[in-house]
Formats: sequence, C-alpha cells, structure tokens
Amino acid sequence: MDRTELVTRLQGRDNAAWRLFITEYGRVVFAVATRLGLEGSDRDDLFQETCLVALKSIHTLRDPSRLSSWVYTTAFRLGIDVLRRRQPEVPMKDLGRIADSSVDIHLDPRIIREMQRIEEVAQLLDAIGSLDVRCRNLLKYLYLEVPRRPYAEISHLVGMPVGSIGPTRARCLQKAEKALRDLSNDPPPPSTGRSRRRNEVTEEGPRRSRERSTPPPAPRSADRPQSGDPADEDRNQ
Amino acid sequence: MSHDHVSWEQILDALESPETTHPFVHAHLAGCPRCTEMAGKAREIMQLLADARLPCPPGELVDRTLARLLAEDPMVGAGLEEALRGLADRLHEVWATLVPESPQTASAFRGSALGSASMLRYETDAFAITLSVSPEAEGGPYEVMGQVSPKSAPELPPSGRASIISGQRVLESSISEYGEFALPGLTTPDAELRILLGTTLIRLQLPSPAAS
Repeated sequence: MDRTELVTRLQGRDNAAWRLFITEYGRVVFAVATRLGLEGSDRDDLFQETCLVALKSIHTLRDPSRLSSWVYTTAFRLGIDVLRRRQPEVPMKDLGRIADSSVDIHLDPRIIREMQRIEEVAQLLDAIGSLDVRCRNLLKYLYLEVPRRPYAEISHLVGMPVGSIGPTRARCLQKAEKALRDLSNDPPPPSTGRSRRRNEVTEEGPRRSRERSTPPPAPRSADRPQSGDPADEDRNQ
Repeated sequence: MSHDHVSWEQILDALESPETTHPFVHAHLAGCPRCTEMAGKAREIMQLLADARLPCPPGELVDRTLARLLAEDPMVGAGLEEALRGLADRLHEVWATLVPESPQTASAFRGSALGSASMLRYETDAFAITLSVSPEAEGGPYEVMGQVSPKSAPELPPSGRASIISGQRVLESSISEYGEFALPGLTTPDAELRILLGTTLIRLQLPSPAAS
C-alpha cells in the first residue's frame, strides 16, 4: 500500500490501516519514547497518546509523503510534554538546550543527538515510502526488518531472482538517496499560520541540520499534528 | 556512468563487503574525487539505514493501542453498522429533508440521463448535503456521489462514513476531509442514505424514480 492510499484509509477510519499504522509507524514512536528515557507505563502512555493524537489529526495531514516525519513530530512533542511534567527527573548534567524555544526544557546532549537521528531516520523512511512498490519492498526486507531475512526468502517475497537483488538494491538505494535529498530541498507546504517561528525551524533540511553542532530535534513538518492541548497553541505564539 | 568510474553497486559492495571487493574499486575510490563523493553519499545512507532498523512495538501494546483507538472513536471499527452499535447510547439521529427548490428530478435514475446527473440538496439544522445520482450504465446500477458540509461549524468532525442499503448489500464509503463520498453500485435508487459524522447520524430518503 502506498502512502497516499494508506493516509486515505487512515482518514477513512479503516481498522486494518490503523493496525498497520500502529505496527509500522509505531516503530518511530517507540524509538522516541525509549530514547527519551521513558520506560514501562510512561513509554506505553506516550505510545498510545501519540496514536490517539494521530487519529484525531490525520485529517490535517496534507502531504502523505511526510507521514513518518509527522509521526516523529507528534511523538517528540508529546514526549517533551511528559519530560516537562517530570522535569526534576531529567538528567541535568552536561545539559544541552533545544534550539526550538517553544520546547522549554533542557535535555542531555546525548538525547538530543538521539532525537535528531530518529528524525533523520523518519525522513529516510519517508523517502523510501515515495519509491515504487518494488524498491519499497526490497529495501524494507533488506534493511529495515529485524531479524534480517536470507536473500532466498527476499527473492521469493519480491519476486526477483537472487542474482538481481544486488543490482536492484543499488538502483533503489540511489533512488532513495535522491528522494531524501528532494525531501530535504523541498520544504513542506506552509502551515496554517500557527507558528512563524516554528516554520523557520521546520524548513531546514536534514542535511543542513546534520551540519549543525547542536541541531534541534524540533519538528520540521508543516503538517503539524494537533496535540489537543490548548497550552500547546500558546507555546507556539 | 563512464566505465572509467566505479558504479553505485560496486561502491555499495565495497562498503558492505570490503574484503571481497575487487582491489580496483578500492584503488579507484582512493584517487577519484567524484567516486569518493558518491561513496560518501552511499556510506551516509547505509549508516542511516542501519539506524532505521527500529524495533517493532510489542504486539500486546499494539493490541491495547488499537483497542483504545476503537474506544475513542468507534469509526475505526469494521463499518458503519458496527460503529452505530458502539454509539447506541450517544447517537444523535436526525432526518435531512430535501430542499424544495432543489432541482429534483428522477431523470438521473433513467438511462436517458446518463452522464447528466441530477443534483439534490438536503439539509438538517447543522448540515447541508448535496447529492448527485447517476446511472453507471443504462438502467442502472447507479452511483451516488455526495458532499456533506457544515452550515456553521468551521469543519466536519474528523471521521465520517456514508452508507446505503442496496438490496442485500450494504454500500459504504468513508467521507473525506472535504466531506466527499462516493457510493457506486446502487441497484435500488429509492434507498435510504445514512451519514455518520462523529456521533450524529443523518438519514435521508432518496426520491423514488416512480414519484417523478
């Protein structure tokens, strides 16, 4: 299923699509939760809250090709809210400050780097999601699944001889690299004007962000989800 | 690519299995700025892919989350009938009436009007529904295309579903964020259309061709 069809089905409240979303895109959410240091019920709560916000906000997503980044943004912002509520427990040693002023919390630089990496991964997943179905599936089976599958099994799954996997994966990776560059160079459409400052951060591409010394893991997508928290709006002013 | 340079595939092989890569590739990469730059891009995406192998959330958490979404919004269920059962105690049911000046004709239900569908406008206190009923072939079946829009609220509830019982079949469609829906395959044109928006069930009766 391509991204556009998935988002359409999510917006149509299709049960199977939501299960797929929770399983596949939940990996980004789960990574954000665990690398923010959340465990047990806190981690599970963030996971569920992110999916609930996605359910309520999916109709606002205007660019299905950025679904993974949108999910990252949602999880990150909700995760920061969790940390803010329990700020005394956040590691205060060697503090780094998130450049996004709306995220008024100090984070360990290691966590900032982890968040930035997940955001870059989300952008890569968006890039792969924009490829044709053969490349999408091949790259998924080769690189994104745990544990790795043997080539013979991948050959069966994607319907191509084992000998074709190497050359095809090279072409697909080249396409993915270009798609990632295109996503970086093509800022998302302007948001509905909720935060000019946020948009300025949002329009930075991952390449530029990787060149910064302390890059913000702030959300970049203009397809900002609705947190459902009015205070969130206020923070963006 | 010129045969003088190494290919993207050779670069990937060199990154993944350097020990089995032909020495020519390593030697070329050491002295060719263009291929070195390409190798840098390949290395970067390979590293990113390695980090992209994110673990799946536990199956039990997936199940609990889906159950919570269902509890929050029964529309995530299998269909409108199921959603209605889940909403039984909260359902607000309202009949929409055909607007008198609406160009009501039943000609769209006849083969003669193929390709020139009638537009019908229905209203409730809070919503307006515009319908177009056009035969998919001479004599039917018909396709009902519609759009529901709020009269005063800024936007529709985030979830919506439209349904028509056609003979033994239930035709269902999700409603887009713009309020649009399409229900092809209608064989009994004087059917009842039901639109579920949040906890509001709008019912309306399509006009019978015989009534025209």
